[in-house]
Amino acid sequence: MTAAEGPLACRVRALLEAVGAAAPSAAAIVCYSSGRHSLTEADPVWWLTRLRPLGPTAAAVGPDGEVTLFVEPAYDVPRAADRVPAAEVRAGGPDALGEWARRRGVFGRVALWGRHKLDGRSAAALDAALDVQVVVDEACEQVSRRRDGADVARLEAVTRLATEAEGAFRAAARPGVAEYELAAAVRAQLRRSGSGDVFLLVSSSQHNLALHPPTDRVLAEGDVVLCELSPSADGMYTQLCRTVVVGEAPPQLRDDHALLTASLVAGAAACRDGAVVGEVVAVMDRVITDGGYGDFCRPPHMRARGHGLGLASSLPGDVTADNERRLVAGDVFVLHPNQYLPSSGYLLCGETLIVTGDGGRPLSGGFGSLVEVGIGS
Amino acid sequence: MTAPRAATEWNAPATRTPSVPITAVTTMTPAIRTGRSCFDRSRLPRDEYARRMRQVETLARAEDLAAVVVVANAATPAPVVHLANLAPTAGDATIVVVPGAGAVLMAGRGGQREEPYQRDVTWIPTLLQRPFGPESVRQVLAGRGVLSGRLGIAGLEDQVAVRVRDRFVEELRDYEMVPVDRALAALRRCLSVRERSVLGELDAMLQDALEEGAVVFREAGVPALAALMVEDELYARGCRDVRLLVGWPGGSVRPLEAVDDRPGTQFACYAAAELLGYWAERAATVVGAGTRAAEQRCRLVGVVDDAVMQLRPGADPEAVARAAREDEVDVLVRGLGTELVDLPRPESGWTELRPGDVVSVLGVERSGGVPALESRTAVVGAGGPAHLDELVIGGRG
Repeated sequence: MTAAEGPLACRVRALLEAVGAAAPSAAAIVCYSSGRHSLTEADPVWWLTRLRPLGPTAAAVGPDGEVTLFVEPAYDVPRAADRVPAAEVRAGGPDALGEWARRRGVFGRVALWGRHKLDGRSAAALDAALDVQVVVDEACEQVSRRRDGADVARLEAVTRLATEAEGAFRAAARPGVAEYELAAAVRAQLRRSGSGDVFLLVSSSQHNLALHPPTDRVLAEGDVVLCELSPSADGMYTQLCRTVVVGEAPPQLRDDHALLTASLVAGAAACRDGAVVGEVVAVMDRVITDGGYGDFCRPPHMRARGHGLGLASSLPGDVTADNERRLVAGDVFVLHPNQYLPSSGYLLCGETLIVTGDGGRPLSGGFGSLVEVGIGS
Repeated sequence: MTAPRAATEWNAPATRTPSVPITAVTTMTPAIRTGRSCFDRSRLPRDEYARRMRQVETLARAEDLAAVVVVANAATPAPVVHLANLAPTAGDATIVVVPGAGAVLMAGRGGQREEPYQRDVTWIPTLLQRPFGPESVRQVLAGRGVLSGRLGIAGLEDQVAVRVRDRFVEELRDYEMVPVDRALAALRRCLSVRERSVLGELDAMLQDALEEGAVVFREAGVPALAALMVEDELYARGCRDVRLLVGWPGGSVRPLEAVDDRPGTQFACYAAAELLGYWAERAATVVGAGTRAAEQRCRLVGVVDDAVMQLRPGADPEAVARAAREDEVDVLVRGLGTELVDLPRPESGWTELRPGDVVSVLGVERSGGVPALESRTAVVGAGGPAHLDELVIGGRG
């Protein structure tokens, strides 16, 4: 069975080309997933096949480009076969993979993508099964960071889910509601509108010190409520970072949020094809410094000005001052000057961008603003 | 984007792949756990921390360990949650316990930004922020005068990326590293009455949620919407993590990746959830009365109930499951607690049942189109299985 046509074949060709350049003597490629998923990391199996693995899964690409999936648990084989009809799907782990390598005559000549996420036990099992010749994580991620037109359309659609869910967030952010209940309401809206897995952080306080997972704290009048809204579809995540005030926002809070928004807008404009990530951070920090908060542009007041979004690629990585990577047209990541400010506490303000020659384009079509929700309305 | 409207029925004919026996349960890992994240309130007060730390110190003395290091990742955090009452939001977390000198927690990738939250939630008073990792572990040990000797370590092989494992090995080369994964798992397995009461509450939540899903299914006839109701209900009631598997045409089960509105004549759902750091599971099937599917479900209930009756101290859980299996009927016996354990699991010490074990018996009947799923939860009592409510405080009775 071969992936002769279609998106899978395109990805296989791109992978073979990249690995051929990085590891010319490799005779086959194995993309490996532990089945543990992260918002900020690539999943090699997902990228190649668009199957979000349930458990440890390998996608083996032979010399002629045919794809064989090794799936665990065995009961997930039908789902994998439905999802990846152009691939042969088998149940099995490293032993089955090793047998495949020997039969194909590629044992000892396998390039592996995904080793960076392996635990020691899995790494030992794969090494024994394949005698892995070379790890090609970096070369492959340079391929997977490129989103095609269909990917971008899907990402825009997912971002619309997030935009629509902002309404649920505002509606549910009321005095008397616990953070986890608010998170559940937003999550439910996203799932009902078609989202797959949801990444969601919800925090509230009169003066937030940080962003964190939802607790059982009950919202009160005057609270500042923070939400990172990250729906997904078919394994592609986007993220919006939003701040809502329960009641009327004090003028200083409005000014501070406007400052972060200005930083975001400036940063997005700087996200041009070829720009160095650290330079984007400098642009963003300059706006905040000019606003009088230069001392707060470092941990623990903030973590990063953004980050890559899975499951395609972790690139461009964390948007931090020491990141010297260059942005590439088509990179998709979230840019967020989320941070603590002394008068207003921790505030959120962020958009998912796609890098173009003219700067970063927000997939939501704009930049969010501070929202005040009425009490009892 | 709206939920897709598919023309085909959920209960369409079997797909090209034949049904496969289910011998272990794997669910889809989320990118982050989105539910209520604080574990410790009135249900599990701070003295639980003292009790558990005493157990670790006793273990250290018995094994002549100068210290114990526990590493766990955000996806499978039980070893850290049990001692710290905090699960890392992302990345790995590490606890260093030096007997007589207390414990230090290094809590995940959230780093300094999450520190106020972490301090609010965790039992461990000493929290070390970035930079952390193997180098910091060595520094913490050195700072407490532990420069060499036997070091108990858990999670090194299966909880951290191999590059992190290798750094641990390099940084801690002056110590004799002794794996204590199994010993710590054995401590976690012994559930206190408090812990069983959380499991009892969660078990009731799971039953209620599945009943809510059944109501939706009876009204709308759409299995995915019914499953989504189960998920929503559990999150709304304070579960941190919810995992679903839904019966699928062809005798298989699948995760609920995205909701669609295909109609179906049968709703079979497996739900696992975590509440306050404890996991339980339930499964249920809704079928039309008088149908063949109803007969299959009835057969399955009988098989599961018979298996439950075999749960007694000393029983081999795998033998119980094996004896209960029939043609196209899978039975699994699973341990409930700080994690869900497919039994037997020798590395965790679960090779025979002990009094107080909380166990789930899960059955899958695959002879029809969509499999039927059923489960029971029981406590292993001295004379045999007992209902969870009989051994918990504040149970539903």
